Amino acid sequence: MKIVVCVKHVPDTAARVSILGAAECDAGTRYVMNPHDEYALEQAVSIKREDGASEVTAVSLGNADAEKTLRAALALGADRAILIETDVAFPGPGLTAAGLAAVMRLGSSPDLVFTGSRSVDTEAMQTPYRLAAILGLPVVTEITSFEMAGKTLTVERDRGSGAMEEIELFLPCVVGAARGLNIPRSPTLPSLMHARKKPVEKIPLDAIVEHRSEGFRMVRIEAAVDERRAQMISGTTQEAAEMLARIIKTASAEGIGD
Amino acid sequence: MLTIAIIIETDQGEIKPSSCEAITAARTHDSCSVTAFLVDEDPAKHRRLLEAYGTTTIVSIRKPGSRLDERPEDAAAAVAEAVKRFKPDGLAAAGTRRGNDLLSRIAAMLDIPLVLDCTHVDFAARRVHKSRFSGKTTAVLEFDPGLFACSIRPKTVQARLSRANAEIVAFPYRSSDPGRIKVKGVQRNPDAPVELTEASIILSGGKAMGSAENFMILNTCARKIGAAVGASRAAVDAGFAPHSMQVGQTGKTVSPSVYIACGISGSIQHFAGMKTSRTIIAVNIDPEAPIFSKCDYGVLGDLFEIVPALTELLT
Repeated sequence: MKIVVCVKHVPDTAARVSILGAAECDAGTRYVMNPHDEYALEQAVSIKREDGASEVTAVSLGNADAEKTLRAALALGADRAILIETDVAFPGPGLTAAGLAAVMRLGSSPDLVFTGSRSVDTEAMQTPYRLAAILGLPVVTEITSFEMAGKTLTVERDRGSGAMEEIELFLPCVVGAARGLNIPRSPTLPSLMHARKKPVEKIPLDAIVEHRSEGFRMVRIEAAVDERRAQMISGTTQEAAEMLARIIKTASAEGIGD
Repeated sequence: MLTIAIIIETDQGEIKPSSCEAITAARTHDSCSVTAFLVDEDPAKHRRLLEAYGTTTIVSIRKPGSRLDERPEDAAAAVAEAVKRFKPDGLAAAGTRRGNDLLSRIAAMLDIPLVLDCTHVDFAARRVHKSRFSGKTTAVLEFDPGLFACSIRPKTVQARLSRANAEIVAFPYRSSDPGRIKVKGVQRNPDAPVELTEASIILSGGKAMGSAENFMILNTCARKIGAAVGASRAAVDAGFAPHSMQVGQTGKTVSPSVYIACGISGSIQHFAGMKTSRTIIAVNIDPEAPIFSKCDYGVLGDLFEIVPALTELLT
């Protein structure tokens, strides 16, 4: 089985993010593999563990630094790694999907494409859908359970309001992983050393895709301002509870008029 | 006059409050008229409510003999056909799981720009506010001319009544191909009827809860006030709560009127998921807990004493 996993190189979620200029947003600190993509990679690699004949290719669209995330993918069990190199600061879902699809079309078509359901930086949440549309494949995202029997996939996703959907679709397809799908493992030191010797293929984005507008422009970026000054509630348990009850009643009355 | 089509979401036959919020967002401008795209449902049943919030046209999208809700690709194709037929200037929906999924499919199908989970939308100016980097920044984006789509984060707009009269237009959708994806079943959890991302009040538990059983303390309190119950990542990792309850960067983003964090230390990642709450209350036994510098009200105390005492008072 040919499996492709799309991984993104993103700022660590604990990083401070600073804004440079009107249209740039740069976090000068640590970059990691997008957390949701770890679940995607783990699922792909676990399929390979069951079926040794499968091949897992990790693909990432990003700048030269993204090679680090691809090395991590190799250390975690990917057989091949491809970097679609671009200096575009925060590529949108349209451009990303176009690049990923172009690379997938260079080789034989994948049977299964895994992605994370969302990235923790731009949070567009659309790349799997746009990718699937270009490839002409069905797509399901935010899945928290995955079962494969031949070409039949049975997956589950949270539908909201405490309801879980059980969904059936068939290979070939695109699947977006969500937290809870599995437990991603960490790369071991030996696997990281071994991964260093593996090649990461590099393809310039401009060589395979013509740039096109995402359909919107960035007007400005605003930093979030978190200004809350804690009023500490003191007194006995009973007094504190009474104060809380009052606050809850007032605050929720000021709230929604549903 | 701009026409904004709002895809209405229903759950078990009832229109979701977040869909009414989306209608209000579109009605904010006198220059925008709202067309409701109602899928699968009987339009006569929902007419009053849709009119109450300002809808002037209800397009009833139904596939004879089947429920589009069970066939995501067919539902998207049906709405896409309605878009081509009625040519709205903008397309929007509440940014719920289902709303985001449906809009993503339609936008990919029609190749139109889409921004999901907007915290503010100005339909007339074609501008949206989108949170990025887990809420650390907000990007103000402006759509190019042409049809655009967006979803609105639940609870960021207060639904407002704005009476109108609506005409109902039937749009029967016929296709021989129901698509490649089938929803085989929906399992509902009777203990979690209030959706976290749409709740007005949330009671959330951290690792200090100590066990899954102890979450009952929060459930009991929550039931009294119609609140939803959430959990921190640490609590979920420890097995005290399922992933669907997780609030935070790799969980759900919530925006309630009141967020009560019990035994939650208040990491950046957790805060990212609830920082837009109107009022944040923290109950924690640790005076050094980071959450005390990020809340509106703090109670330095034992949640196992405070929450039951609160429950008693709320009866």
